[in-house]
Amino acid sequence: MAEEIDQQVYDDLIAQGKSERVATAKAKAAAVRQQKQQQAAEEPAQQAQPAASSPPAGDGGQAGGQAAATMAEAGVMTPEQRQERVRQALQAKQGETGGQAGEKAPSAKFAGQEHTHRLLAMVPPSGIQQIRGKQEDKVYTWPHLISSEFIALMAVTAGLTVMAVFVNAPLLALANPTNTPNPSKAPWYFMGLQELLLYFHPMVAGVTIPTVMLVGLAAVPYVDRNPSRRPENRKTIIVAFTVFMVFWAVLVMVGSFFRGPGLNWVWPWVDGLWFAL
Amino acid sequence: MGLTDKGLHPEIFDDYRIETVDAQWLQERVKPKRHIGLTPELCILCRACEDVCPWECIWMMSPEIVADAESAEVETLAETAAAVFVIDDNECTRCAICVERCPSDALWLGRVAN
Repeated sequence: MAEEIDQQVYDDLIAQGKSERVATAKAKAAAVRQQKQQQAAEEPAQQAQPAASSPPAGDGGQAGGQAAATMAEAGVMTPEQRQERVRQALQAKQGETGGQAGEKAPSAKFAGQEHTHRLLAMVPPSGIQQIRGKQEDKVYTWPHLISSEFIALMAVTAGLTVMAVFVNAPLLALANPTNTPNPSKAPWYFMGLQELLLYFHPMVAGVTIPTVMLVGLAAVPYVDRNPSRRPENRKTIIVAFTVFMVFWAVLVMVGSFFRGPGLNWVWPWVDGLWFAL
Repeated sequence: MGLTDKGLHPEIFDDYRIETVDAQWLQERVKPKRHIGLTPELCILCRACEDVCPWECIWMMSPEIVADAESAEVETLAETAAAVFVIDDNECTRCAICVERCPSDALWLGRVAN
């Protein structure tokens, strides 16, 4: 079937720059259609012979032939004619297969043929979508980040306002050089360093340890190159940072609340709180 | 010969019910043993097969033509599909022009047993 091609169509398509594959297929189709036209021209005479009363049997082609015979040389049918033909075919079909159990699908929708069409395929949307790049777990800054940042901003502002109303942080009198307050404490964020100075030589406590700490912090991204974002994969760095934080937090709290006059150890619930903002 | 030889055009319906058939049934009901098949992953919905088919027997249709299916899974599959391909095996002559035309090699000609 369709081994010959329509050379004219083929040449035209090639001349139009179509690929050989397209040209061959279309030329073959053209040849087949041509063949069919020729046959159609010869057939009406034959088609007039089969009587309309003979029961449709065998394949759909014959049954179609029978129905078409009533249309004589009409060629293309009008919709009304086609409906009539379908109706006839349906009746014929019912007579033929009537009451047969297990009949697949509502058959004979069309001119005495078996009208079960075969589902060739269902093309899922994924079949025609080319996905370039991997889908990332990504959200936009607005509104996802900005909204939560705004909420945090409002919360902090409210907290600060409340604190400003209820916590007294007065400016004291002018400093008197002849009267050094005892104890003389640094701001709270320096209390850790001040606490260290009680234990080590000033060179060690004031320079060496802070330098090692800061350089160590700066080196973290170079030392720990683990790309994972899952906490369970980052135990080392989490432990390291926790140790760092706890170390300074303890020093700051001890320096702030547990050091009294002369920076001696005091218990705040016994000797009172030697701490001012 | 087929319908198109008589200047007729196969009719397409919009109320198909999908049912599973076995190879045995298919062999008994339709003419030759070879069948056109389509690999949906490769299909680019270009409709070249429709265009080239001399028998007008292969159609790319909207999934809406599937009115019913034997199982909910199949119906869901049909509803989410980009397109549904239907072939009239009795009009098809297995000339394989569509297979040849298919630019993405989605169409193939195979035997029922396969």
